[in-house]
Amino acid sequence: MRQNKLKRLGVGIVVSAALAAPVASWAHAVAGMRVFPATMSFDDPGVANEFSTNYSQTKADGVTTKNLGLAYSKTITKRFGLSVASDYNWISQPGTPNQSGWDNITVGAAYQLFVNGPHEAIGMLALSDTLANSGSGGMDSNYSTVSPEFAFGKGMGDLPWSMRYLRPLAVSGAISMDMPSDATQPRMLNVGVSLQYSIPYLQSFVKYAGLKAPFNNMVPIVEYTMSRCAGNYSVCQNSGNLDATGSVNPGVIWVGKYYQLGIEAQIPATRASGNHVGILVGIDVYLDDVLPHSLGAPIFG
Amino acid sequence: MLRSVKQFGIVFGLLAGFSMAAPAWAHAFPVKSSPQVGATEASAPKQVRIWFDADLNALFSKITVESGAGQVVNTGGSQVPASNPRLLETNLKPLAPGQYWVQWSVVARDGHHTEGKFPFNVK
Repeated sequence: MRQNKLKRLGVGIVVSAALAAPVASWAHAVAGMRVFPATMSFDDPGVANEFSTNYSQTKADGVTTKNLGLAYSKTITKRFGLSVASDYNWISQPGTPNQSGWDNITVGAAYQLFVNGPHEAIGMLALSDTLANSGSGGMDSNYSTVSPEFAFGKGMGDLPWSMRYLRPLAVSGAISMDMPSDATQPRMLNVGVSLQYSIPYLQSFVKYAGLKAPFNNMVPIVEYTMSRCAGNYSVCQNSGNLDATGSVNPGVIWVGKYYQLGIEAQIPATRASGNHVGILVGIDVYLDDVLPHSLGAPIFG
Repeated sequence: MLRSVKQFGIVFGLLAGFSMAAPAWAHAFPVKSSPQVGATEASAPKQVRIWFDADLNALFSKITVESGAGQVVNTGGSQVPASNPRLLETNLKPLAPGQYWVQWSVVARDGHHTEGKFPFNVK
């Protein structure tokens, strides 16, 4: 009985982590010569106007989770933006009826902390709130979760010319803490890091390599995400190593003028994260570029 | 439940349709250049030309070409020809062998700014 309960708790944490991962992302961020594409498993560091949708499929301990994430972000001023996001989930596990429905709605605010063009550095602070009881009955949670976040990006364009072929490299990352209003629920620390190599950067600023479409717009990328309990919560202690979940996601993002397309494999980073390679695909529409004079422009300034 | 999915689908469809339908200019990024990025030219080029993927605002778009020693080697400013609003070009002084850096800064018609820097060599 106790074992079953622990297993359910563990699965609950894994599923919650999986559901929490692919939500809002913040458009393409530009710092000097560098364009940071919207990473697919965590927020990228730009405040912009964007509509994004991601689909992921993962399997952990017999539980298959399919997730369709939708997010919309809108600038109020050039440096400040708001967002709204939610996910539709399909969960199936042997011996129990399949479940599906909307996850809680997340609303967020983000502030562009800094943009340093010459050093291709960019940083963003964000605060989001996953609203209690705002999804489908049975699928959503009855408590809200506030999540402060810092996201950053750094291109390697300031490396010496002798290391020019490393200049197209960039790293980006996001660190956030989920703080549920229900004290029995664990606080979760979420970390995401990406390493990306921009073919457009290579061909525009280092050496034209003769690559044509579609390769000239590709950014090979590896994303890494990890989510773990932050504190001694009984639910985390009882679940053994199930409190840490994450994945390594190698893939490629094609960056177009008005939108980007991405596809990544999701390789479980811990045993609790699953035992099958999942898939993540996504489309991000750059509303800044599609509708620069209306929906894609800041309301003030 | 089906109803909520349907509603979200309709909103998604409308937003996507709205997004795709309107005219746009957007950020301007380079498509190609002459000389090519990182190229080694057998003879000194007389012009630097960069083609972009969006219409440029000529008033706020410019190219500066510098030698390895930091001397400006372009003459007469930068032009966006009336016949091609996506082309930015500048004329060059006679160039000695060496490495040169092209620095460009453009504003697309909608006001988005982009910039870049690339080298070429003269043998």
